[in-house]
Amino acid sequence: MSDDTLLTGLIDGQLPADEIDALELRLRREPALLARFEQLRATPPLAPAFDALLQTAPVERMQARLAEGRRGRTRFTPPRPAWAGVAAALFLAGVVVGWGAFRAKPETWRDAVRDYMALYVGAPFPQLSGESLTATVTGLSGQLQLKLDPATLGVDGLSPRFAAALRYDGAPLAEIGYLDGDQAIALCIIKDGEPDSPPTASAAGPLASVSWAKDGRGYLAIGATTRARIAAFAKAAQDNLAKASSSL
Amino acid sequence: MSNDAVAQGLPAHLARLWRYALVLTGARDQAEDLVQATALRALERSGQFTTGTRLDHWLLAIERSIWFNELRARKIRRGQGFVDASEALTIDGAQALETNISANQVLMAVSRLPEAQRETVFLVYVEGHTYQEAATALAIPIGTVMSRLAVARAALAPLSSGAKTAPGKAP
Repeated sequence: MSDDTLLTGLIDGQLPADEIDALELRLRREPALLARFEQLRATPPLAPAFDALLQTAPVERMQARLAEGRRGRTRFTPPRPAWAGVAAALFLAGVVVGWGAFRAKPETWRDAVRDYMALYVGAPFPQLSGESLTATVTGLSGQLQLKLDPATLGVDGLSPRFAAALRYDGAPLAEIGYLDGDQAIALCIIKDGEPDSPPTASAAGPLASVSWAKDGRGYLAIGATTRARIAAFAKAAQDNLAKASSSL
Repeated sequence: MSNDAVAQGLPAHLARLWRYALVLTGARDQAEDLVQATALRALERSGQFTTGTRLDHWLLAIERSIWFNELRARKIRRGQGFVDASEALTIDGAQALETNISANQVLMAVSRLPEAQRETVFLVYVEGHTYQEAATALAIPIGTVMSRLAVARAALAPLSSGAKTAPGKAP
């Protein structure tokens, strides 16, 4: 740690006691260090200047905009009733709100998930407790008739941190959330009887995704990451899920 | 804290969110947009707010996340480069501080700091974060917080005309 760093810590009162003692001893013995200490300590106060700035904040305009924004959200009517259930299940009331800005009417459950994920680029899923995660996954396992547990859902080195049991147009929809670096990746599974389809990659805006279907279930891996990363994630998920299916 | 409590507490923090947005974006029009996005996101996620933690820190963290992960990234992708806060961080009128240095002089000096230093200085010396709180908010080691502050102090020291005051509120 440089002398300037130590001196700054001392001035800010955030050095550990033992380091304070050692530094104060040096200050008594080293005139050059003491001079530097006085120089750094002379830095003018910043808070008053920024407090003055605070007084110029356009608070009334921001409050008006916020009120208008909230009214706009409550006026919004989800285009598909199923999505209202999705949002409620995600306890993210109001998420659907900005939906209209993205797409007038999602065509498929995958579109709906993409719209939802677009709102949360850069924001991780909440971390559920182990007990809560296991309970949710167990419930999903029954709904999807797919043997799932948190270990099975460990994908490509990532452990699930979030799970939600949703529905889309009456079909059970699982959303499993992961954190890859600082980006959220979701693995969604729906039991809607759709025909088998091979993995298909796509990208829209910051989101990359891979979708496929097998044995009457649709899958979507999606996140604000590279196509290569989501492809690797999707491949690992397919391998894990194949094992889960065969072990039923 | 309930969802309602977040909604009720939010208006009191709008000015501070705007001030942080100025530091982040360096542009007044973008600052208001960022505050708006932050406020709406906070309301959407109010159920995730942990009772007993600081609402102001939670809001500032949301604002920072939106800026760095969404808006700023978009701006850079559009080729608009990084932030220069020199124009945003000014106030009308030369409000003199106790040290006889004008508020604008201080704000301009801070605005000339590199982005990482500017934000760290703001959180610690203006918002009153401890080193540890700043390290958590910025997702950096505490040693990096300390070194940024030391370099910033050295850069800001020439501003002073004899003031013997720490840059922040009283520690």
